[in-house]
Amino acid sequence: MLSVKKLNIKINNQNVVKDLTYDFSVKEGGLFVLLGPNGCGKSTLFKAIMGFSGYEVSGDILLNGKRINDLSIDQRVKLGLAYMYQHPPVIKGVKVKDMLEEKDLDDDFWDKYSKNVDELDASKFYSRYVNDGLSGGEIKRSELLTLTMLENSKLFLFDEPDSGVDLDNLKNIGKYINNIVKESKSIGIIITHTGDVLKYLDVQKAAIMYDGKIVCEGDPEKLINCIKKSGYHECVNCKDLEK
Amino acid sequence: MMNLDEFLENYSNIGFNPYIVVSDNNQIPLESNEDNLDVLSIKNKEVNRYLKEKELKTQENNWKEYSGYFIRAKKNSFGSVQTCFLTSSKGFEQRVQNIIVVEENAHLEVFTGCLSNSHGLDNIHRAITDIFIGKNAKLTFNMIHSWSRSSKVYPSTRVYVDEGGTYISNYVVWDEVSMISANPVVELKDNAKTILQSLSYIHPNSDIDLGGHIKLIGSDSSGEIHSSAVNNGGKFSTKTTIEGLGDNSKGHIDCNALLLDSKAVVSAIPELYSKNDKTELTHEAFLGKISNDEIEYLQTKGFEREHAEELIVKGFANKSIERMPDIVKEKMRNILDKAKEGF
Repeated sequence: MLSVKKLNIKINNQNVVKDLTYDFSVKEGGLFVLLGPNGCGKSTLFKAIMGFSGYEVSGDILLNGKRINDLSIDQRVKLGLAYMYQHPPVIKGVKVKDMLEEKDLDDDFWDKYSKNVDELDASKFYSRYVNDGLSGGEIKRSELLTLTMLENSKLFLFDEPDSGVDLDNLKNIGKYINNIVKESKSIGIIITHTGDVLKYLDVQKAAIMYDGKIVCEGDPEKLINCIKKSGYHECVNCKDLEK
Repeated sequence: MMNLDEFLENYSNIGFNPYIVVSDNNQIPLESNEDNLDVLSIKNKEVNRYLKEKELKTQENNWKEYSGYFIRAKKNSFGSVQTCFLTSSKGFEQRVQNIIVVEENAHLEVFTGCLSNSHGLDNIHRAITDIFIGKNAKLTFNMIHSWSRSSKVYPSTRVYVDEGGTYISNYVVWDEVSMISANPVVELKDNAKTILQSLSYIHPNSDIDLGGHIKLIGSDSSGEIHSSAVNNGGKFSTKTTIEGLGDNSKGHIDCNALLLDSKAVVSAIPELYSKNDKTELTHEAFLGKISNDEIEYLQTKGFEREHAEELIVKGFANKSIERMPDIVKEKMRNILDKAKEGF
């Protein structure tokens, strides 16, 4: 579904993602996890895929074989991309309620929304300014809730859904991510550098990003065990893993 | 430009009674003398008699022709009044002198709209207003402007708040106007409080100067000035001053302005003056364009860029009036809903 070819991403003239060619496809309803240390380029890759400004991109970003490099963020969303922020901005003045009221939403949506609010224990976010004064776990739950307003999402990009989250929230968030990907028969790609959320997810495939490149891929459990045992640097040099 | 009926419905008619309409320089058509509230023409002899008896000094006017009202909320009363100033002909100069007295322990809410009708281009509105708020009394003064795009508006307002009294001013300018220069001065005695908050939309040919000067004379008095503006290419100035004179007086100024156009000019000049080491005065300001991070966030929620900008401007406006009364919020919601052409 999502692949990149000879992708280079620069920020302030610094090459962060380097000549990357990779196919992120997994089976429908499945999850792919992208592991890697801080600063290796994972979040930069996601942001470039979404079309955020400030990234100099060359090469191809392909969604279902279609090059999307020149599309705006909202056009990419209409094609089925959905992005969960790691650090979303606070928008004082705009409430979740305001965003929903701007959309033409039918009864089916409100049924789904109501169910998701219950699952995420997120009723209080409706009337609050977007991301204003929320704790780490609340920000993640609010972000997941706002994904509900996107129709026809086919590919979810979850940017560190486990960062700054306590154990109770982690379980809830993991379960929720599993469900929305399965129920919508879409695909989810998750970035994590701690791997904490993985025990609550059914991940089909994993890869390690290191210094702007994907250096190995394989069974998620094996990769995590290797990283936990030897650290990222040793792990990427391990001959037992698929390169 | 909306017609008179539409205006009255959308801006001014909120169901308060009495309803005072000041048209051009004509005297107000109805006077009333009720148990709780007096409404008189400014030229009624009773007004001077009352001012003399209470030793209330007002600003001088040297006009030959003028109109205006005298409103008196009597001691311990609760009441509300709506007023509307109209100018009808091209180039007309309206001059009004108004006096509002809220006596001890009384509470009064005033809702004011100002309008020039579709023929009222190039008109001028000059207003002298003196407000006297008694001990433990409260006045909430709400104003939503709708002058014509070439109107010039020059109010001069002085407010005197006695011990424990409260003065709240909610001032909204959203429709196009050529010029407004409003710098009310508020003097506060012991334990008195004032909040001056304004929201302005600055159109490309508009020059809006909305300031304020609060004198915290009494001990434990407090004053706040909150100025918000959305500037789409005009000029906006806000020169604000708070003087901390009384013991334990507190003051705060903030200004937030969104600049939507490269020709937009904003000048925010906060002045804090302290002559007492027991005062606490603060100020903060933000002037800038809409945050690109916020726009892109909304794009990830499926909104096109222009729609995202519109949502942020509406949000900015709604946040600016969140502490204003529901009647102002409701009127603003109508105005924002009608701004279909975007910002």
